[in-house]
Amino acid sequence: MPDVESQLQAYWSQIVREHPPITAEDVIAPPPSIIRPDQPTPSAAGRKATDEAPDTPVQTAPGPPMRGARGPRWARPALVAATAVALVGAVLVGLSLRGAGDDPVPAGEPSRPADVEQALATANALGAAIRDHDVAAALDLFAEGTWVTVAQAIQTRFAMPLEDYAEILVYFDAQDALHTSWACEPDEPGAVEPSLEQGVTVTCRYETSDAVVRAVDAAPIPAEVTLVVGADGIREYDEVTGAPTVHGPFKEWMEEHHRGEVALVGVGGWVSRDEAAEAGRLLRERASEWAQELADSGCTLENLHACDPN
Amino acid sequence: MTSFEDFVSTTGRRVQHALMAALGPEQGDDAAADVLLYAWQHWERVRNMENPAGYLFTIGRRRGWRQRTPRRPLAAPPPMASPPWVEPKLEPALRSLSERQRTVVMLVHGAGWTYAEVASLLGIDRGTAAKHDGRALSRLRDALEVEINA
Repeated sequence: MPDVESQLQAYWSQIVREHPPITAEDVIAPPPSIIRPDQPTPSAAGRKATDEAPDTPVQTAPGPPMRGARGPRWARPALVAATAVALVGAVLVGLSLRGAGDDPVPAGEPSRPADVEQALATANALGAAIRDHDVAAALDLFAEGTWVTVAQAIQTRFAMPLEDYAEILVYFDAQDALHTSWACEPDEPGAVEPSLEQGVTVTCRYETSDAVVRAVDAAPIPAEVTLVVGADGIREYDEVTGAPTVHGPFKEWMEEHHRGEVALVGVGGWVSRDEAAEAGRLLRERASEWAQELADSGCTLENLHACDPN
Repeated sequence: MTSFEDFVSTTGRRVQHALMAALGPEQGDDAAADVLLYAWQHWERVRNMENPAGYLFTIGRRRGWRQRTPRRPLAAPPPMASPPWVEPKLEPALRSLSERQRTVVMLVHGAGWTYAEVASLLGIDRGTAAKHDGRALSRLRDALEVEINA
């Protein structure tokens, strides 16, 4: 038979033949109403109607229809979210402006403006909710339509809607993750006094550990969260966690020994609410098994790359 | 400054290949379309990244996994003068690999990427990429030979 390498080449050429390159015209098709101000203006030639958002006010243009899988599948939810954010934001900002004069900072009070204090209180409430695995309380602190950005390294950032972040928090609960040392500071004041109307930036640091970290006695993972808190709640959530020194090797071990459970356990990803309890139980079990195998083989976290227990 | 059109035709194509290697042709193709739309929507940020391909690949993997779309059967290929023969057991053998092994072996031996290019995409050492490749090839050889000799 031909060697594996030539078989891979043949198989790949078949795949490439069946999947032609995606073009910019395939991609650029959001309706004008959801294009954000910081985005470039798409070329007119790139705007096309899609088969997945027929009721959105897209600009139609002559030309071949987009392939079904390549429509702007975010268009409709993004439009709904953008509209909701605009409406809620307008109402809440209006309320904020109306109430701004009702609650002045008491004369003689030192330190921070009231808006900054309120932003800090919101940030600390979020820390408490995460620590207590109180998902509902955590979500109540976010402005509607907020997208959460989470990263494990500077170049790998995941932007997710709140409902996905909620699933992460549920999973934290199921795996008995520990979040400790939550401490927040507002950004240094600039030329303009921070206000909830514009959004107050707060940076919080904390440490986290889960069953995998604890199974091998690894150090807690440091994390830093930057929040922009507005009158309507947390508008931006941008988290950078420490390098995943433990989860990467654990996931590789899972793929070697329990491949069918990797997706369920959710290492390096997350699981649905329905699966969270079972996933958490399984994660603890497998983490313990991995730690035992490491101990038996003489491998440690420090020599893991050079050590092959197989 | 790179235009989005140029970005899609170069980096975008690499991301599409990588996601098809990792997730399978159909799911990977869909995920690539999704993340390139995401790149357009966040173009100001994406265009200034050091490693946008790695970033989009990571998002695409997550989206592909999240969608959990059932695998669609391969569509009938368009006519070709002399289509290359592919061992029927190769695809199931590839699916039996870990995702990382499959990604590395497909990109290196199918798409012709270097270990350094794959390592950059995946955020791993070049040596680790080579190690995954070696293990994947070994497992593929075993799987195909077992099937043929059976």
